[in-house]
Amino acid sequence: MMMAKLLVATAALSGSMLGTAAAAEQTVDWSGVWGTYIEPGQTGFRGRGGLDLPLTPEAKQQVDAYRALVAAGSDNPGAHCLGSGLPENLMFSGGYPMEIIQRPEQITIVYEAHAEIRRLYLGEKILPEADRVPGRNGYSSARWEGNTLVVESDSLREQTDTMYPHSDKARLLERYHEEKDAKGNRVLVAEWTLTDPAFYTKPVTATKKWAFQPKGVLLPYECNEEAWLDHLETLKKQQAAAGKPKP
Amino acid sequence: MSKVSTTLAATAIVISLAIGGAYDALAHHSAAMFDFTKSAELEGVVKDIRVINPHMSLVLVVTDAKGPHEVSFEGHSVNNFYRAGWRPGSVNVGDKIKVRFAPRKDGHDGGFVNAFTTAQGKEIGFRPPGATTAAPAPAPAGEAKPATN
Repeated sequence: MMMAKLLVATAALSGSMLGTAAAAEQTVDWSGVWGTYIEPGQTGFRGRGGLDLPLTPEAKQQVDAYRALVAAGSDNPGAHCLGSGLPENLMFSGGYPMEIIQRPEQITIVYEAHAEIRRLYLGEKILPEADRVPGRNGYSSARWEGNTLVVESDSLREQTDTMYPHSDKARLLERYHEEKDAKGNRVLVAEWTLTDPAFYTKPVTATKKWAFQPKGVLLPYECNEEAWLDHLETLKKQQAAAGKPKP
Repeated sequence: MSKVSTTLAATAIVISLAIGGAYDALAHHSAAMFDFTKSAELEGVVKDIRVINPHMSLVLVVTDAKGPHEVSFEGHSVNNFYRAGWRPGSVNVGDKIKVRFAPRKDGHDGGFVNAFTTAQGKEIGFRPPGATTAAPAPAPAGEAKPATN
């Protein structure tokens, strides 16, 4: 029924303003909340593991310098309310769920941790490369190959503060498909490849799986409220020290 | 602002005014400083509790052979607190509670709270979303911290 509705909607849209091949080919619906898939026999979310990445000597030097700066791993962006960026968020994201909102011309992914948002553009929505704004999640262009969603991301900022360090020349290729596990549960699989000759001697590949959560909801992730409240406290102290009366 | 957000904001404001130096000692760190392969328990009276993102902070007054002293803890996010069954008012300043925690690697007091028992006897255990077993959380590597950021 869900697929039928989507096909009707797709047909209506394809006859109007979109009319793109991307819209016409969209026959799957991944809208909803997905959590990290726990493999049979696995007792729980395993977190970020130690990675043996094929870094170039120059990149390794940069990464080592970053890690020395943050006192041997005692600090990280997340502890300061900054999202991890690609591809760490799709791989890890603190173990929190993600929500997919699917439209023919745009697929939006919200990772609960730090409310990181990715927008995957399809068809006529895709901007020329020169017009893309760089960021920790870059710019993602997507297309359907049958029931597989292929996503290519560029315009990434250089990051050493991540489990997958990369330069601003990095490109990420993701291929998503859905399958069923032994119990018939929906599982979304992403196979991805990070290519970055400036940082790696060869492409980095990995696979991530999510389980569909029919009743799942994303919770708000307010994070920098503490810093704001601390700032207000500082202002109050400065106000008191200056002898200014409270209004 | 939603009712929940408003409540959390109000709670954070009230608690932030009461926070002392013990809280600052553990603020803004990843969980790399905790040993998630170990689990310990401690009982004490809540001096401060701040349920905020990216992680909570808790100061207990513990009385043992050293006499009464403060012990600082970090813990999971607001999101994980809610999913574990915590609601505003579950734990208040002055409550006597028990915590189960991953101790600090450097041997100092305190740690990362994996579960606690409220003054009313309610067990609240944290586990990553999707996990099939309760806390303590699996051992992370690198700068990992289980289901938190």
